[in-house]
Amino acid sequence: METSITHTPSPRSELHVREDYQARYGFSDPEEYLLKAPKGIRHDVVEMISQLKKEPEWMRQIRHEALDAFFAKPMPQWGDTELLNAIDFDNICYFVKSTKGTEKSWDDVPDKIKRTFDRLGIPEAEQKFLGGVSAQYESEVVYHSLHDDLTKQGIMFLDMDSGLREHEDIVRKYFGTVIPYADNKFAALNTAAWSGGSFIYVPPGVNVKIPLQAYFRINARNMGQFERTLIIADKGSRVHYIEGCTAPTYSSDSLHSAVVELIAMEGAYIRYTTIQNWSNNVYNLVTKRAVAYADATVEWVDANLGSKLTTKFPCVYLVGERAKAEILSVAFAGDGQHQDAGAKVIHAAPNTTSRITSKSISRGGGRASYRGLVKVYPNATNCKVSVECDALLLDENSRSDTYPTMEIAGEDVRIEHEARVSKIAEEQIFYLQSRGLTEDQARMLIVNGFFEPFVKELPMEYAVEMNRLIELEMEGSVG
Amino acid sequence: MTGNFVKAAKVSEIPAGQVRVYTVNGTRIALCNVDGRIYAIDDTCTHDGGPLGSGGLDGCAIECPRHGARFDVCTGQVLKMPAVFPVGTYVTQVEDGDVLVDMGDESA
Amino acid sequence: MSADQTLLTPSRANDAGLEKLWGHILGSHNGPPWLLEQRQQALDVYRSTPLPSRVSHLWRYSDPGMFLVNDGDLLPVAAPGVPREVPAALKEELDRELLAGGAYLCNSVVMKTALDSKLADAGVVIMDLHEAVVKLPDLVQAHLGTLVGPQSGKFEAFTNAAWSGGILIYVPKGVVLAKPVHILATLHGEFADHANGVAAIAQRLLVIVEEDAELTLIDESGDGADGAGARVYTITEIVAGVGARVKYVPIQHWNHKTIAFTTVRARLDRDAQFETVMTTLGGQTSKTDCGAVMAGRGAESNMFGLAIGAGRQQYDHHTVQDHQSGTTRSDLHFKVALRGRASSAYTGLIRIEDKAPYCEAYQENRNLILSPGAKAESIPELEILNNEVRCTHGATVGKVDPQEVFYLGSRGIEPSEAVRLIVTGFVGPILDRIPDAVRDRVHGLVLSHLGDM
Repeated sequence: METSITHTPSPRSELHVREDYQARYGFSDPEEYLLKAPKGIRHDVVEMISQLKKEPEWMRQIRHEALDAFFAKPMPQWGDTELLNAIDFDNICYFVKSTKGTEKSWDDVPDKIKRTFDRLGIPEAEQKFLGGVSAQYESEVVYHSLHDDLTKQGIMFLDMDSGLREHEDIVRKYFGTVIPYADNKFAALNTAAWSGGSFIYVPPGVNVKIPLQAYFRINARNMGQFERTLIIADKGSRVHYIEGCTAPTYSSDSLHSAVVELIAMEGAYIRYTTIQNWSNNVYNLVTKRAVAYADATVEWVDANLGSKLTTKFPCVYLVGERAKAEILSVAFAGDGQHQDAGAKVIHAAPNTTSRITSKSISRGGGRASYRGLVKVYPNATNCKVSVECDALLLDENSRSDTYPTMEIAGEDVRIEHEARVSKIAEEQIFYLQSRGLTEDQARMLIVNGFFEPFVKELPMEYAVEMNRLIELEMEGSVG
Repeated sequence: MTGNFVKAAKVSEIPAGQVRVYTVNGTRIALCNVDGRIYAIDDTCTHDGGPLGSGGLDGCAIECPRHGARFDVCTGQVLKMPAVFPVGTYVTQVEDGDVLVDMGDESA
Repeated sequence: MSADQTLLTPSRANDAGLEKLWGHILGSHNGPPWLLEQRQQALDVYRSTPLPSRVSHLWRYSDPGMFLVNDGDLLPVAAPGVPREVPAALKEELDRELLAGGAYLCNSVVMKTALDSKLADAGVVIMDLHEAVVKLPDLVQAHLGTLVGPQSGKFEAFTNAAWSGGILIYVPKGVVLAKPVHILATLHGEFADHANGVAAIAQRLLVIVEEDAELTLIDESGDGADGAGARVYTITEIVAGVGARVKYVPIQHWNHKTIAFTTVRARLDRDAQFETVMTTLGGQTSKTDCGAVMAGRGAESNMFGLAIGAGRQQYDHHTVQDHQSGTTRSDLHFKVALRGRASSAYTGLIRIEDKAPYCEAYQENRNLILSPGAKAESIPELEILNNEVRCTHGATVGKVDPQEVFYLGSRGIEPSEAVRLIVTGFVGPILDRIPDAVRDRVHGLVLSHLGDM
């Protein structure tokens, strides 16, 4: 099926921005203004963000419309409504630009997190970056040579702000077409307040041979609260993007709400790997969605650790024949954490296939939820779907929920879903102990085996860190 | 006149540029007045079942109030995600000030 | 003729607006002051509870506005010409002594009850609920509304306020009913397109099975095409005592213009065993919530269900396996076959509480889609708050395997007959669990509902 997807501007909403805004608030010294910026999200804050970035008029308009949508939309009535309703939107700072005077100090980063960095073996410069402290990197040289190499192939790989500046026509064509701001309250908030994130365009037929990850680790602008990422893989191209890292990302901001849009044109391949490990004060409310055209493949490989509440349901719309989706999602919920993760696949074309694999571990009173949707439209004949959810509960205080929704129209479809919730079998531990392992080692081995299907999908250096991190989580030594 | 035309509303009830929802033989139908012509579509958004008729009409485009999906009310075609499947359309006729909607073969 | 968007908001059901409805309720009320007070409180809850939001998960697949009862709507218990004679099928089962007892209701009003005299002597009761609130007030008051009360939901609140008829079944300690009890509820009258409002019929069933007692209950609703256009609200509460064994067999075959809202809850005490065999064939829209609460250690619930949809029928089934106590076990198999433009939504919750270790829970939902216009939704849900559990669920949606049709074709069986065979084979294991007294007839209903494939 061909679906035309274009951005059509909504009827203009009334903007509550005064004409005399600039004169009144004086943008001649924006940093100074920033320091005084009040908490809460308002049209003047959005206006300020747009002005600071010297954005084109259409983006400015979308931001304001999105903010109206954010105000108008109710909070989600599903999911962890208790935690969601605890968010105080008025007590959040929506845009902070790092300036010399406002930089966070390394001393502010909690010792617990610093210890974790050390044990993971992360270089000090990177530790500082992950702790939200901006620093100079030797690796910038590496980045530049990488960048030159990519540019020669016509690959655009920039932070989103630069993407908008340098490739406005492409951004305008695709921005918000996969996730319109009206999609949900947090997508609206992101559209109004976005800053940073990545912009990637891969030209037809180009195969990006290395995973696009190294760059990310040194791009400070990606660390915004409201990242906005747009990846377009043109016909027959291939790209693997890796976001985040295994170390805990320390943040003093309580609310992070990213929007990620992927567009896989005919025959293209996109893999998007996330290993997200926020510090435990963070609400991480993410909207991730991909469109796959004919013969395209989209893979989300997604790990969620840390945070107070993560809601993240990577989604693929299969709109072209023979398109494929694969979503592999793991979550580890520790004390005081709710990992509300899952996957969504929409089959809207014939001969499309999807496979969802979800694995979660709850420990120390943590709660892991799988929330999924598989939807098959009547025209999506001969499609195949498999969904498998596996949950391990490591103690009696923890909780696991599974909410897989399947909405199937049409007769020519085969869907299989299976879910299991269990604990570590005592006889396995007993057996491993009989082979000379301590009980803790035995548990670790079983947990590693449980996450193995995920870890083996990671590039080696990430796999090593991921395994160490699970070890730390199991010890309870990671906050 | 062929088809299964069912009287649904009075034309006068649907001002230009506006949408009204009626239940016709048990099906909720949104009647849209685009420049004086009445178009009929299912009231139910194909994305997530949202009440399309409660959304605003912008020319011949209707926007679902729940997630912002847009459809062309004249053709049913999707104009904007998150919908990807066209919304059902019905043939309409106006007779003596009444809007008639062709409900098709309802036994199917 | 006017836009009906107002139906979606409860604004029409304002305080003054329900006066007439209360008048109707008073008209069918017949009982002690505590019951009147219960009804009044339930109506207050109905009035003050907002219409469920379409985005709340149990209402994603049915328009709650469809079940709203407004002032001016009718509660037609005494439609003229209500047939007093027991319908032939039930009469035959009673005459052939296939049953321990039975009851016949029309438009919620109890027309006839029957009970084996030896069982009556043993203390078993099958009684019009209006009569029971007077004759057995303590028993009824102790249980009525405890499992499905006004707080269960807006429309459960309405039913608690407005029920105009019902049955009490009581099986005292240690009494075993070897044969089933069969209750048949029917409708009479033409309620479709009623000029004065819709017809809302509310009825309830209270079943109390004491310690070590045993009951099989066939709860049939529907009878031909009569009563088209009514909305039927039903509450069934089943209280199973320590070690009790209850088999509950609801068979719903309302005509295709009826709208049905049904809530069933069973509470299982220690070591009680509960089995449900549910058959859904009828109704334009049928929304059913059936659940078992395992409140005592060692309780066990096994639910089996089949639903067959045709034409434009809309089914919305919700099941609950609620493990509130440890060492409890539950299993569920729910099968759906859909043809024409029928749609089915199945939402099944398994919940295991934190103080309930050593539970086992299983759930399987299978859907067979027989035509391109049909639609099936399956939402199996697990909420597990304890790690000492074994819990799995599975769901499948698919069409008839063409290879099977081809194989049967090679044996000289027409494709349409082959599909019928495959569907009856699909639901066969559920049908087999229906009690002998009615199994052949239900099988016939299933076949005729499948029609020409």
